[in-house]
Amino acid sequence: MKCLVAFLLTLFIWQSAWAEQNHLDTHIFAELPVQHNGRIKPMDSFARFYLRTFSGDAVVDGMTADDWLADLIFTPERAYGRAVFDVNNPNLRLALDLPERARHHYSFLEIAAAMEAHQEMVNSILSAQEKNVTDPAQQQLISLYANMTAFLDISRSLSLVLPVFRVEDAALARQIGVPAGQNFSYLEMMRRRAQYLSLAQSVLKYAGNHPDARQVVLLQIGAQLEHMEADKQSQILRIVPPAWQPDGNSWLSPWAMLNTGQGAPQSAALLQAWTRMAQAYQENNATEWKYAGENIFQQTLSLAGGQIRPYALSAEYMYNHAYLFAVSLAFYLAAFLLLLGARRYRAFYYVSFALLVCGFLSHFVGEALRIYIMARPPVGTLYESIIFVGLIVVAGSLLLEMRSRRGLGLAIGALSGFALQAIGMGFAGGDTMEPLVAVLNTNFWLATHVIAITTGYGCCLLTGILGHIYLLQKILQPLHHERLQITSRLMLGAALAALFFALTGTMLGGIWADQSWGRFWGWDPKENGALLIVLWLLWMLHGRLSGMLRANGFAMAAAAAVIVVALSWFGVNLLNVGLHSYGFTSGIAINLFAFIALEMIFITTCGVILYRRSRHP
Amino acid sequence: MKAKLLALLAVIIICMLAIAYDEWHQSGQSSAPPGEATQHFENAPDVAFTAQDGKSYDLKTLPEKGIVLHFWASWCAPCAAEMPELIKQIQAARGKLALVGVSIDERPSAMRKFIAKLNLKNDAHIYWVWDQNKNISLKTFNTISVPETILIDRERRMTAKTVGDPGWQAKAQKAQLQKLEETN
Repeated sequence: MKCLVAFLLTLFIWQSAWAEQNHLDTHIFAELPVQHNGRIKPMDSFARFYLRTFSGDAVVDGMTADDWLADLIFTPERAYGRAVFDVNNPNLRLALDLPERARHHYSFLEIAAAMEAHQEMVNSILSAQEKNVTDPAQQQLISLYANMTAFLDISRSLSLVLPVFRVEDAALARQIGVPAGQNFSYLEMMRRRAQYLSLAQSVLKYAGNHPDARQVVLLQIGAQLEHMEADKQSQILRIVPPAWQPDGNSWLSPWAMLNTGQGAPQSAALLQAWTRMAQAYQENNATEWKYAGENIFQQTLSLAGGQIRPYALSAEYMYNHAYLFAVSLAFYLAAFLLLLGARRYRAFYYVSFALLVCGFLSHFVGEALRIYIMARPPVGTLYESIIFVGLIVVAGSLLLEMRSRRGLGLAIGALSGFALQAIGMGFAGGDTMEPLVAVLNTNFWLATHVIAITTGYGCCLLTGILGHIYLLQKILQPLHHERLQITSRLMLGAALAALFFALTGTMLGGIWADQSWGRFWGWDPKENGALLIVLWLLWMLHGRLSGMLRANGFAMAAAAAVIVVALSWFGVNLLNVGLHSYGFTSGIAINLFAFIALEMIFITTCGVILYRRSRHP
Repeated sequence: MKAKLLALLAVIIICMLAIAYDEWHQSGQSSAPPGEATQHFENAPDVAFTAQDGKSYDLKTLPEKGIVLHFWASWCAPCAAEMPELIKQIQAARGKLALVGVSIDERPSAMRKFIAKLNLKNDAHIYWVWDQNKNISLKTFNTISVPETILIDRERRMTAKTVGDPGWQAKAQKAQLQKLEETN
């Protein structure tokens, strides 16, 4: 026992000592603001975006995205050797002679060398029109090349402040005016340019074959300066808020700031702080690192005026790290699995209920964080609509469960929550918080319209699922009248709620369209889709009220509502016309048609079975 | 009945919240338009320099009301084109504006030669500075290329920067210089 304690204690001390020695607190770095894709985000989101783009994952080699980015911009030479580029196409690997590996990850240096070795082939593909390239291997080569360019661009972002120059010779250093035996940066070098040039004249005049050590150093400096000329193009990492533009919306990369004449005393101080941070990173100096990081944050904040919301940056960092939607997905799955055992053990039911609530809470908190970070209503893109509909369906199911307490709501909530979160993850490519086009972002009517209509989708989906369940119950357990009645009642309630929200949403959309486009209704495909949902629900409900549709017919109509929703939600966008199109996506088309076909088969089969049973009881 | 009342109440509350949000949203927009928020003028840093006349000055304590801090070099063609016009504007201001011409030439002799060529009869309120080691241009003002000009007002706040030759005889530039001396 004592041995074990001692061992654990040693491990702990060793671990914390290691953490202190070798691990700078990247949290400080991760929350620094950067402008990317039209919005200001924490470095963490920037790092994740690019690491995912390059490698397909947010963690590579056990390194988090933040660690990776810090390494890339502060010690680029080291980062060039790190395998982060995903080359998953076997034909491309073959064509470039890349060695086979378990994870198909290759470093910048490896790929650059491979591309150089096959220069002719690479050039011929890259020079082709991108639209004409249909071969997956060639497509990947084109995207790989673009990724490499972006990678190089980011890696050179801070090269002007990195201490990459060094003169050992004390006399020479004095002549140039730089400290001997110490590294110094491009910016410092540029301040001594005149002295350097006059010294370099002697090298240029030298005609012999064996330059002395002094001349070699001068040549090396010249070569380094020449090499850094290309760095001036670096513009992806926009960390400097504009000091001089009154509109001040577009931030600049350090190089772009300097080269477009946007430098100011404030930016000089900011670059100074970045220099210190780079130095602290290279020297692994935790205190200096922390100090420099805080300094950069403050400087950027004061330079950006009111553009930055510091708490939103922290919130986004938290959002990135908590994986709340993935957590909710896990909760939903667990809730469903436990529910399967609830018939034997009642305790499972309660645990499942609690798990569903936990899933809902995590889903809800994620959504709330998104609203806070983006400072806008939660639904603006297809991805967001999926996540939001998921939330509504789970909330609706929880309400159902509280009324009926028979596990039905739990089953629906857990399954549909899981399914929608899973579908949402498929749509969560790149930055899911990209700003919307101005027209979508400003209007109050639009915001309420989108929320109402997606809530309508959610309720309609719930109605549909209940319809399915009713049909299955009726076929499999036709004698449980009480249970059937409950399902039927819940279905009616959900349909009414769906009608309320869909109708309100459509009307609000009309009001907004009137303000924005000058007409209330224009037979836009999406408008028709929304109208279709409303009409379908109206038809269903009137049929039921007038007695034209009995319980079975109503359930079939409710089940078919799912198809109507899918068409209005996803189908309309495939038409590629109208004002609501998100652009054609062939993947969605196939899935959508498969889904509709399956639903048709299911509903018709149920209908036939129930019809036959009613004829021959 | 109770349920209907509740539903009605909910609808009313939602409507009120919506209106409140709309009001708040619009008021937020009108009070802080995106352009205005960032336009606050920073104070110019303390810069001490030795002018060509051998005397030491401080940017903050120059007697003139407004300062035109101009970065240039003798080898730069746009600078040469712009300089006479800029000097004309300074002279027209009759002592209210100062020109601090910071040369990033490699040698002070190049700067002196250029100034001699200008053949100025009256160089009052013009301070020629050779920026050794780019202490003023690159280190303090983060300026690497020429010509660049920073306008500093009476309260020694930096109000604008122009990159390249803006054409100082143009109306807009004249107005900008005018504004500099008038600031109170």
